[in-house]
Amino acid sequence: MKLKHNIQNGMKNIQKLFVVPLTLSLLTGCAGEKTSQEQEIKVFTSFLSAVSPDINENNKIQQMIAEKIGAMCDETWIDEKDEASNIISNMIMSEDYPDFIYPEASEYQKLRNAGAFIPIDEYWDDYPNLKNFYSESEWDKIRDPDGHIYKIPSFSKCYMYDTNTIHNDEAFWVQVKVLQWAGYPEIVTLDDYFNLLEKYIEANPVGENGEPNIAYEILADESIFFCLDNPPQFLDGYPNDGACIVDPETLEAIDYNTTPTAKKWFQKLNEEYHKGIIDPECFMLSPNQYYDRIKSGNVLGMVDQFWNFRNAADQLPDKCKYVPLGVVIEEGIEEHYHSQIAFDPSSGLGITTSCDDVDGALKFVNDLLDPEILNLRFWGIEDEDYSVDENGIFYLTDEQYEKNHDPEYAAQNRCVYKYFPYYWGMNQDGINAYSPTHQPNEFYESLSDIMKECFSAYGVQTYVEMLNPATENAPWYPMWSYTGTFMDDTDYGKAKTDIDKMKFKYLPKIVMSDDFESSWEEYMTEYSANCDVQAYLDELTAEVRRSVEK
Amino acid sequence: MKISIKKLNPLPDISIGKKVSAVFLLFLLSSVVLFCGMIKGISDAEEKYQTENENTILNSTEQYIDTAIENIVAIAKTIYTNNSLYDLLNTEYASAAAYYDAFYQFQENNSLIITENKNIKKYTIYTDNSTITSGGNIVHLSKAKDEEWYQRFCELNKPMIVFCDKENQSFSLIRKLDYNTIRTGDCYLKIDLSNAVIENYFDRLDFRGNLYVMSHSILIYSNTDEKNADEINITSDYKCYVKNYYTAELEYYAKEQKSAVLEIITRNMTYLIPFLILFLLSVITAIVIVLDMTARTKKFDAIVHSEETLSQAENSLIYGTDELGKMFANCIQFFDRLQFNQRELKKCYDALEKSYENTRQIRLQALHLDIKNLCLAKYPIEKPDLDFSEPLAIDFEFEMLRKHFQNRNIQHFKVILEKMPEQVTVLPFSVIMTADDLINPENSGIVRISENFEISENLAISVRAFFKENCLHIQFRTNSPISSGKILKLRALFEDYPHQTDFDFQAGDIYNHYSRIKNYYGSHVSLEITDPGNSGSESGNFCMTMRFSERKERFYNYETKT
Repeated sequence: MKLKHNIQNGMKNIQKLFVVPLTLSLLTGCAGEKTSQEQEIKVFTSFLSAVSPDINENNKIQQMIAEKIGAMCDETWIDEKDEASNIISNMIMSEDYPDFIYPEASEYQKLRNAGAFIPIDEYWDDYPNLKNFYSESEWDKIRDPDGHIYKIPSFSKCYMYDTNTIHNDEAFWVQVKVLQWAGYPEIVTLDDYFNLLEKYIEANPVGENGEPNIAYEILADESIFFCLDNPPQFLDGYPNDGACIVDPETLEAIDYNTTPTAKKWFQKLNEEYHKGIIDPECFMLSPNQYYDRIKSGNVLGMVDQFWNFRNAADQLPDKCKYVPLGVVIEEGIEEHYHSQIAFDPSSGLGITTSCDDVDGALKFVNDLLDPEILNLRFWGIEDEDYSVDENGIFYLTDEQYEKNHDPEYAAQNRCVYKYFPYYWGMNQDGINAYSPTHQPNEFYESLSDIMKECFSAYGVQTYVEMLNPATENAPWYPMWSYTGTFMDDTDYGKAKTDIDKMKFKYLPKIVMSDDFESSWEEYMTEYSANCDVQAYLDELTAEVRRSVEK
Repeated sequence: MKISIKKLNPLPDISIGKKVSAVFLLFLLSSVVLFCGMIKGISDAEEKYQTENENTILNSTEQYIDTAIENIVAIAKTIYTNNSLYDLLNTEYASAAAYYDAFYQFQENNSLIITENKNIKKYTIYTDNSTITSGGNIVHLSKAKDEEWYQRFCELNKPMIVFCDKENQSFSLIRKLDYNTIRTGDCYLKIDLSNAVIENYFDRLDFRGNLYVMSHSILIYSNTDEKNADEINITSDYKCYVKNYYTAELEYYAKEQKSAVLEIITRNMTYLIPFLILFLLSVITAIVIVLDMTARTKKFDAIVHSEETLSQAENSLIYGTDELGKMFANCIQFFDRLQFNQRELKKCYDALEKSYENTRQIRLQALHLDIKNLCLAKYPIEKPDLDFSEPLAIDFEFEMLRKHFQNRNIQHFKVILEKMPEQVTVLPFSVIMTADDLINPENSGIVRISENFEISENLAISVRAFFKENCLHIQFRTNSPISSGKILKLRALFEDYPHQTDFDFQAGDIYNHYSRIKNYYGSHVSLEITDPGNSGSESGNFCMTMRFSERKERFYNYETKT
């Protein structure tokens, strides 16, 4: 942490007090200017385990925030060429950390075991914004066995209700041009979905780029397998618990891999594979090869989570952009593709033992949660970055919209501190969304014409509205975060590993099989023979019940 | 050791301002010389450093790529000799599922785990086996047959080549897989080196100049904005190194950014700005000091010459506490002391003058008295109450002279009193006694004047008084011999000098009546003796003229000499 007279960026991760010597200022003739108005700005350092564009030195909002709260943070992001794990390992070896670290979930435990974080709850009594950021029960979810809290999950707190306009999770995605071509039909079931793709590719076997269209693509790499294996839970109308489906009545975990819907799903895939609707090379693809195909614009549909292919789809032409569909196995089932953002306890922002001003660091985080600062972070400066109408509704003028979408402007004028805690959902004023991209009117205006046409046809304004509204998350939701803690030295942990391996080995073969039934039977036999599914489900059921009882 | 003032201040006549200006000029010149020397030194050092740096960078880049390629060659060899891979590729699969099954087994055995090397961006095995499903790292050779690398490999007909891809600006290692017999057609291994890793490594070298790695016209790496080889102009000042890697010739070019003097200055601005500011401050400080010194000196000079009294504030302003101020203070103190001494001296002079005057008055009174006594004894005085200290009309004196000559039976005498103003006076008996003295036959020696002497029959004397040019002239002519010693004595008596202290009063001295005249008239009486032989008037042709000016100051005014 450093102190300076003037707000400046580009500091190193050493922790020193910098007071610009007045003598030198006098010598260089720079002193005397606003001396009385200058305040000492604490400059913290951070390492945030994500790829993000850097903001410029002397970023306008960063300076404004610093002037208001007396502190700023140099954010160090991962370079695309960097290995986050190497960086973290080096930090641990040298025991030299920046003031803040937001590691990936896999690296968090390494840092925690190395004693890199300070227990936040020992200091936070004077920082109510931070202490009350989560409820007691939510803090309890991330409380360490020693009873202390070492991290602050930044992305899991919704204010009032979800204002997401983009569905970031899993869905059946289809290019908007396909829907347009078909006249915006109602797609409810799996059959509806594949019928649409079959008809479109029959009529349009080749894309605008001259390459053959791929009606349906599957990413089934060992590292990302959910595109193939977990649709049965959604098809049955369950939310994305990931590891299982949970019967809300009996509070029992159910294995969606073996449900009748699972069989129907894979059978459908088998059929479509043999019809040539599914990319025959899909099971051999690496993630990069999959993303390359998405980028080509020739993939008409797939099941995926938006966060996984968002970057690949970013540069697609407007008509090749994807629309989420809440497909179910049969009519009458209410889909739950869209969920409120799950409380993700797997990682969070930690203050390290190298920070020599823990109170200052906590105050910085606390102040970033102040409503005025939240507006600066996510909306910017009133009348410059956004405008306010007579009803207090925030909106963007054309000029402001252009500025908001200009990376150079953002680098110089916007500072979100996006890996520091914030409230998503509604703004603290209760009438606006927390950011322009979540403000429905603004979002709709930013859409392409074809997407507006599509949304109009379906009577919606956002991607999220293409799906059923998210219901309140169940206490156990999401179960995938719990299975993330499983280790192989437990029977249920080993069972999870075995299940994953079994699925990776058999499911592609089932899809490609010339004899689905026998392949399915073989899979079921091997699955039950080699995986202690009951131990796995018992543990999940126990966790569900524990969560309910909390 | 004695040091002369001249040595300490060899230029005492040049003003301090000029001296300091000269010092400044020298200081400025020496600073410029020093500055230029520094810049030259830095430039030379930089040039040397740049040359060394270029060599170091070329070595580093070459070694890195060398190592990276050799690593990949080693990995390629491992794959090349991997029997499991040949088994996978040699099998003809009945279905896609069968291939997936075999591929799954192959992957599960981690047969190619060795390929997880940071320098490898991607490896791909191309096979002619039509029963495999393309994807991941194993694809149909048909997808490569139109690609440049494949054509290049066939063209070169070598077992292994390094291929530079113009489109992706990267290079790859290509190796034909023929370690075991393959029945399903040709197989090739293509390993693409990670440009990102190479760029990252080279970027971390933090080379300020231009660094390029090229293969013919393909730019593999550039640390500048140029992203195509066509945009780069390789000039003769680039250091170059070329190496052949498995048919690919890689060229390394490095050129340090030459720093212009201006750039060096700009880069060192952090130090130069304080230097310049300090320089400027020293100039300003010196100017202030000089102005202060000259102003104080001038003021001091003016004060000294005008003798004005300084106020307390002016004192503080001029003096200060520095050396100059102390010197001024000392000077003022010394000056005060001088003034005090002057006043004391004046007092002494005044006292002395008073004393002289008193002495003169006393001596004059004594002379008057002595003359009176002599005259009373020697001459019949018609006015018994005659005041000897006050002059009397000259015609009365001449009348007495005439009678005296008659009484003395001098045959040949003339007493001529020409016409003159009525107020002309002479001291009583001054003319008579002078005439008497001149006709005294003992004139050549010291004779008591009170004694009567014999008058020679041949004695002739004339006394003439006339008024000319506002002065009374009394001319004595006689044929009585006058000794040269006496003439000298008379001349000495009538010399003007401030205080005639050399002549102590002696009653009855033959010169007393001369002393009386001189003491009474002071500088207003002069004596002119005509002595043709310049050896006294023994020839008997003597003429002496007493001249009395009109003014009557009686003694010399010393005040004008202060």
